[in-house]
Amino acid sequence: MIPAIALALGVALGLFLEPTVPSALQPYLPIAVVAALDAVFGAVRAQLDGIFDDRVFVVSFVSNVLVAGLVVFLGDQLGVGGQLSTGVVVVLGIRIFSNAAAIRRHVFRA
Amino acid sequence: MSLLVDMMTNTLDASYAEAARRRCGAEQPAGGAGGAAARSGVVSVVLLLVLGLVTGVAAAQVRKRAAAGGTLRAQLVAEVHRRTSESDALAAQAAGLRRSVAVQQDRALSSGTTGAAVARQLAALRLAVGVDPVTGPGLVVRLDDARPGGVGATARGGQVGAGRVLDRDLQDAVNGLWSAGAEAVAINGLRLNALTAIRSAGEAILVDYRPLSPPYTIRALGDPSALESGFADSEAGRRLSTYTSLYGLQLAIRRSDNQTVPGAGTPTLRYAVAAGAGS
Repeated sequence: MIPAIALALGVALGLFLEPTVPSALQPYLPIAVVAALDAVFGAVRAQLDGIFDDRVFVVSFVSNVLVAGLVVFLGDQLGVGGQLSTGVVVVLGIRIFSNAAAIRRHVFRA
Repeated sequence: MSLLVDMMTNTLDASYAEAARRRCGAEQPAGGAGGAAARSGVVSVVLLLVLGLVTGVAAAQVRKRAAAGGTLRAQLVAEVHRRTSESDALAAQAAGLRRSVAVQQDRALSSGTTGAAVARQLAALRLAVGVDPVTGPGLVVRLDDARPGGVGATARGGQVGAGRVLDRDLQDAVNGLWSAGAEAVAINGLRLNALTAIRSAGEAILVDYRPLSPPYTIRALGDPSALESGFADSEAGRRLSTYTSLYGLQLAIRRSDNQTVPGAGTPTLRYAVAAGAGS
């Protein structure tokens, strides 16, 4: 419950405060969000499987964001940033969907 | 293939299972480990807060960028309107000055008999060339684009938007009116003289290099019945009525007992000089 409230609070803060982001970081925000969402869905699924672990969640969250950002940054330097961001989004999107399906099976038994 | 299959099946981070195994092996640690768990719980909540923040910021950025594009467009539209009204005001000023020049001219010429003759000749020439506004009976031809979703779905001559009135339709209509005996023609209040061009630039139709927007109202002065029958019989009239049935163009023709078309201003000749004047 508290994590969900924290998430909603964060969205509200971001939308209303509109902090200025350095323009160099702007292209990485959506990628970071998708990578972090993947970690969050994995954590929810682990919670339902009964094997959730805070430390693993924190490490996977941070490393997911860093690796996704690094891959896209590397792609930008090599001139294929757009394609690599698409790749990252596709891969993480597939994982998010599979995890969401597992969560759905847990919750609705269907 | 195995990479894709692996990606589809092993979606849960393996480290969760590993950590669970490790926990089982450690057999419920007590005391200090509880504090560590609480700390990492706080860290996860903070991470979720950060995730929400980043999401909100990213969404706000996208929205701000879209709004910036919108304001830019609005600014440009306002600029276009301002310039157009400026140019309209200048045109009105030019028309006023032209009238006062004509009045002065008449006054200057009205002193002697030769002057009066010159003034009469001048007035006739001005009327014929289209400098002065003229009034009289005539025909009003109204052309408009096809209604959206109408018949005009097929392409016409490879042009985009077959249901649109093109520059050559206007040229056709004007030529048809001239050939039917029109003595003065104006499109949307712009008088046509011998040098007026009707052309298109992009999707806009320019008459005398001024962009016009539909509907296009062509006023022609002349004998209304002769104009009407002549226009209907002309090739241009027949073609336009074909377009109305084929592409859904809207063509409306009505007679007018009394209408005024404005003057066009003095045509500026840059190269042509009177043949007798030498050089």
